[in-house]
Amino acid sequence: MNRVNAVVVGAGAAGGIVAKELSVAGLSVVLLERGKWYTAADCRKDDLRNQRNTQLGNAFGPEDEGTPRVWVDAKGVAHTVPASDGAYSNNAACVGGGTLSWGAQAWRFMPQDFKMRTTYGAPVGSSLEDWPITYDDLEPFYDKAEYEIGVSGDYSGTPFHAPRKRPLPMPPLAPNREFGILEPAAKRLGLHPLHIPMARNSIPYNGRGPCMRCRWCVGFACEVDAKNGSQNTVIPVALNTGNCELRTECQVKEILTDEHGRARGVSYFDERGRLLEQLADLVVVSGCATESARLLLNSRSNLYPNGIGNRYDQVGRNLQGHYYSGAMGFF
Amino acid sequence: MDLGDKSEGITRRQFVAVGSLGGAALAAGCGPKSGAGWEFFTEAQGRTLKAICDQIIPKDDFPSASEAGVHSYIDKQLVRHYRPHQDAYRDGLEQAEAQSRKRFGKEMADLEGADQLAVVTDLERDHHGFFEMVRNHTLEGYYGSPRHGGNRDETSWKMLGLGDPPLLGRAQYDLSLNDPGEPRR
Repeated sequence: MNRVNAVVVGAGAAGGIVAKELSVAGLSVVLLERGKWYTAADCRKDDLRNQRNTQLGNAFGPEDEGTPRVWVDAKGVAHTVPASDGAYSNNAACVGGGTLSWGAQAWRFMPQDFKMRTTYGAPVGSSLEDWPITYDDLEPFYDKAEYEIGVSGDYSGTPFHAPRKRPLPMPPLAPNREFGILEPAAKRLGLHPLHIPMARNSIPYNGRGPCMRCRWCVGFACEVDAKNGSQNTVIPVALNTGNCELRTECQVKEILTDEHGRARGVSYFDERGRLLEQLADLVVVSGCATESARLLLNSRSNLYPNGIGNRYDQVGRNLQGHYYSGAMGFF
Repeated sequence: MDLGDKSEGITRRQFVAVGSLGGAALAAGCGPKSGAGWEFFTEAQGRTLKAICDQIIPKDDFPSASEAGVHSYIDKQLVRHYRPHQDAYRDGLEQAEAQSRKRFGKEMADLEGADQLAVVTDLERDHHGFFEMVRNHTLEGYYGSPRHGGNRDETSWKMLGLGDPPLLGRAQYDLSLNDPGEPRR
């Protein structure tokens, strides 16, 4: 296959943005995604089969068969768990990745979130460290993302935001009935309710219409395409440059390296199960925490006997997936 | 007939339920092991399952688990997404029957409600993993969409006063129909 400037592994939140930035800059890009590209016509409001309630499986992948992960419980016992298991640490396998079916809350970190160890101290036995970058380093990129992806909301009058160059690009979504009850009640309690930042259009934006307020955001694809993810923002921009080719249902097997240890491309299984190679000057791994680590660990060679980037045995350690806290009562 | 009109003596859901019974009986003809009307369970296993489910959600002002078709949900899913739980159900139901015969000398389905509850309480203590699984699946079948094979006549949604339908989506399958289709991949 033709060599390209960059191959990007995973068309989710990060991969879509990288593909767009590189292809707009004039680089030739191949974007590989193991899942499919779902549209609003695939919007299945299935209460037991969606990305949030997975009793009967993930609506947007991964399927339960052929995608196991190992989960180690608090006693140190390893279990093999299927993709719909709560212990799997949820994931989506589709163009847009998690941003196709997310609830679309689009918060920035607070400055202290970059300095957790300094601010709060490291719990005994933890590997907590400060980030090597600060809020100020990221502020211009938060701003860029909010305007290019599209975020609605209103921070004014609340303490829950750090200094920002300009307001969010869209006004908040219109309040619903619960808001009318909860907002004044929260204020009476001395709390600071706010119109939280949502990657949902409250007004026509980026060529798509506003939210119809159907309440089926988290776990589902948007019926009217008013919820913003990489699949309806940056990836179409990347494809429109003519410099980016998206290949769906292509699962990367390993990162290929040359005799000097430099990445030279990837090998992957295409939608028909054929093992192919895509050579590239740059390899960008953006397959979410667990799958990115898995790919690095699976990319073994004489120079990298324990996987790429794993000289210190840290690849795949100290990762945190998307954790949810909740409570349930039976009576 | 307007299937949405509930004033004509037969509701749309009743109509659908009658249709699906016929379909299930046809399907059962293909499977040598399962009982009539069942896709996975034998007649005896089905009776035991219904008894357990009805102790988890008993009849009160509203239908019990089995009246709402929870056993049908579990039965259908055990040959679909819940295939990995087939052995756990076979073993768990056998344990329940063994306990029923040991304590009361009878098949669980033939016990009085209080005695059935005693057997289920034993199950919860001695076979907790199985009990938790049946309890979760019972809740899914009772409160989930009828398209999955349970919640017959949208009984729990009516109980909760939810609008009709609370769930609507495109390209759906519906296991309560004769030709359910399958979840689109």
